[in-house]
Amino acid sequence: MTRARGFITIVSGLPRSGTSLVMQMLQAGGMPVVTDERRTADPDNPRGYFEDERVKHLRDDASWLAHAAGHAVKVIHMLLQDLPLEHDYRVLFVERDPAEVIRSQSVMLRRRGRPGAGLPDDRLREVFAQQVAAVRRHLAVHPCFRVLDVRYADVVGDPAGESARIGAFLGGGLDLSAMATAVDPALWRNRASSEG
Amino acid sequence: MTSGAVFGPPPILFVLRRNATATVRCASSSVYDPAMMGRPARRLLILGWDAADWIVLRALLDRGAMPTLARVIRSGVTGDLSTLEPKLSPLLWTSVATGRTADRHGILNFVEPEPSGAGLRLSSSTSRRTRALWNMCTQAGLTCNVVSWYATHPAEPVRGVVVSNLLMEGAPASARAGWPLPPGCVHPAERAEEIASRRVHPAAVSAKVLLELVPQMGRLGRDHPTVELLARLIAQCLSVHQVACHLLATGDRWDCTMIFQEAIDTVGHHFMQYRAPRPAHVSPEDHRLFGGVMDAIYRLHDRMLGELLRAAGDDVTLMLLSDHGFHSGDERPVTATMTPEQRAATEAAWHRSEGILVVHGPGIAPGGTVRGATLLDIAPTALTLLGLPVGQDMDGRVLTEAIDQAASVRTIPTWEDAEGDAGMHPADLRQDPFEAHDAIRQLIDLGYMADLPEDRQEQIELVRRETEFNRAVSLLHRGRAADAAQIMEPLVAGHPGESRYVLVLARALMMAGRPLDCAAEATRLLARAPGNAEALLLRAAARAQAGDGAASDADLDAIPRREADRPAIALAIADVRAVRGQWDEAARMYRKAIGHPATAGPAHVGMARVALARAAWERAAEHCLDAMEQRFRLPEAHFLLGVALAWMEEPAQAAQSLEMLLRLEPGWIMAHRFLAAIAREQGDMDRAGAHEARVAHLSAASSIEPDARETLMPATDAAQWAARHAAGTPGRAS
Repeated sequence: MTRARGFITIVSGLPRSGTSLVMQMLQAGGMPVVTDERRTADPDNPRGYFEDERVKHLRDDASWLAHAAGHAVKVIHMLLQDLPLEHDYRVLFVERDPAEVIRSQSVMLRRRGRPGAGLPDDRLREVFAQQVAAVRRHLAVHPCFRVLDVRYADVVGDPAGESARIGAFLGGGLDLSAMATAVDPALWRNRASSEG
Repeated sequence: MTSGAVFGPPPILFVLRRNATATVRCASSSVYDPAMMGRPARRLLILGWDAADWIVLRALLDRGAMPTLARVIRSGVTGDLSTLEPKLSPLLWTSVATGRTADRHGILNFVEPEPSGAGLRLSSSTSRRTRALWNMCTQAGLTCNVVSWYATHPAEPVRGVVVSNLLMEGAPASARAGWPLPPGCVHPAERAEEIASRRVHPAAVSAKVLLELVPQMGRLGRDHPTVELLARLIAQCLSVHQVACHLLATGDRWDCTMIFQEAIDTVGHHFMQYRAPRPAHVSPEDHRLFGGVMDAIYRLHDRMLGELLRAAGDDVTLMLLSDHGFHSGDERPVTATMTPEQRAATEAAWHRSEGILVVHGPGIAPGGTVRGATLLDIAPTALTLLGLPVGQDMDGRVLTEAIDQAASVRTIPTWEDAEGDAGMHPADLRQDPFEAHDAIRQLIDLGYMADLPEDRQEQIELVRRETEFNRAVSLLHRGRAADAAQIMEPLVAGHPGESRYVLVLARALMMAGRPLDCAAEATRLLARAPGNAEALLLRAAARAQAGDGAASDADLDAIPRREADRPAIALAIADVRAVRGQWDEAARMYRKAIGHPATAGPAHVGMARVALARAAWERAAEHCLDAMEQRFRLPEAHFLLGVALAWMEEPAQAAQSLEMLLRLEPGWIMAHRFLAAIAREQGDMDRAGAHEARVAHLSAASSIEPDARETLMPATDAAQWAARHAAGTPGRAS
């Protein structure tokens, strides 16, 4: 089923925007995900990160993507521009209320004991918005990318509807019911409130 | 922004020279007239020659070696163009284009972090925070071409053509290899190919051109490293020239074209040391081989100027300028034995404070001289020549004395929020590169991006520090000492061993009215570097201001003799002696500095202070005039001249000199005080009231109490002058 897809599914967005949740939905729906599982579940992402360390080094070596067609790969927004243009990509670009994103990042930084940007929230929000706009321009001018915007609040609010939309964008063949079930609104809502 | 000032002719300087007590006819009037919207220049060509210097130019002009420039000067206006601090080209040329100081326009270094976190890049157009001339032209519906101006990459989508300063990026080793332009180098992008084809590869620079620079090149061979270096620098120069000529000659309509040539500076940093007179560290052989390079570069620029003017057509108005001068005599720094790092830190020492300005063509008064101009005046003047309004928030003034007709100097509050297309990048591209880097840091700390290599992080942190340092220097030089100190304090705390940082902080603290803190910083530096003359000087000045005269004297006495003999140090010592009231010793040190071109102007100002302290009013006036002959833009010379004339019972002339000062430095409180006193004595209560209101406003706004720039002594106290008759001692300071 998934081998039939000639494109690579990319799940992207700002860190803490809900990319792990969407990866989890895709995996539940039957799409294999590319992950080295080095970053294991923790209080910030109780169901795991679905990441692969090689993504961070795409600029130096992207050869492994040749084998990623039919798979889902999580690539944060700033690294989308490192994807080689010779593949076809379907990008699920996850968006979440920027204030929630920054709050969640702050909580995660505290847990990791790292300082982060050191910018006021409003400045950080503006810089992230600029980064996202630049990334979107990059996606728009290169025909190898097709993009579906996915709103985190919609996923949590209407898992079935969003699963169907995502499934259609990816050409069908996914278990939409399993995708929707993978979203545990209580968990995600609790997370949002604990970050608040 | 000040506008409408007209300096001469006849200049106050020379009239006073003929008769110090004669009537001074210093023309001054406002020419602002909103009804007149004339456009003095039909087309304006702004040509930047980085580091072009009058001393070298005048020698060449005298020999007839610059025929085009000579012709332009004969029918144009010339003058010195004062630079800004710090004297770094990206900052200065962006000030030219925006009419703002570097702390306001935001280009504060040669390089900046890549927003993607990939490392460093040349400072870019997306980091500029204010509109440049090309944006204002676009906004007004005029067409503006820009070629190779600093910090213009990526090219902005203006009305016209922009060829960014990355024109020569990525030149391959072979002239036959592919050489694509970097993305974003040319706007509109469809003209990239025709622009790229005008570039000259270093290997394609002809032997004829190189032989003009190094006549004995045959002995060295084309592949000699020095010849190869020259070929690279000349290729850049010729490429910019060919692209510019192409744009001027294509027949496309244009209103303003701005071209930047850097070769006089880049070649100068390598080859000025070889020029006559031969410095001791240069071998006779190198002097023979390379001694003619600099003059040849200037001659090449003269030929290119002729070609540009022919391509532009007869109706073009030219503004030719440099961002600073370049030492060519005894003041040349010796960098031959330095490490590359030391050399990089010393490069700015080659730069002289005075650049060149030549304005010529339709709309320009022939044969005149512009006095007191700075780089900040170029944008307002260009706007007026193009018939556009000047932003009241610009830092310079319109050089109306260069314009030959009653040009209307129109103003608007600002260009920054004018509606309509200004040909700027989209808002999301215009980023603060350091904030963008900080956001990347956040992604790294969250574990979503790979950490930067340690050496790259160190580079970026170094660039951040130097950028903040430059911001502080810029603020310091426009009188915002407290803001400068606020920036420098954490820098010094993090890098207490960096003497430049400590000295700038100490200077900022001194100017901000914190002499004790200044002395403390100087003391810390002296603990590491005993005998550091600048630190001793700052501490001496701080202690003098704090009332500890004996300690101040001890610091001055501790300055090593060889340092004290240097003109700049002698001048600074004299200034402190003057503050201490040690007039004989001050005069002795001022005389050491007076014979040196770089310090002669301020030294004459110092001698004027000494003369005023001794109630020698005419001698004080003479020294002020001597100072202005050296450098017109010495605000204190105008102030002290006004004071001297007032004590000479020439209140009208005194007022003119003080008014002149206020055009150069509108915030000079003591000038307003004196003008108020003069007006009151002349019975002009309205004018007196206006100046007194200004004093109150400036005093409330100033963080410096009293303004540290202003000379404090009985003679400069307006109240004492006003009371002189009552005291029964007319003509004598108490």
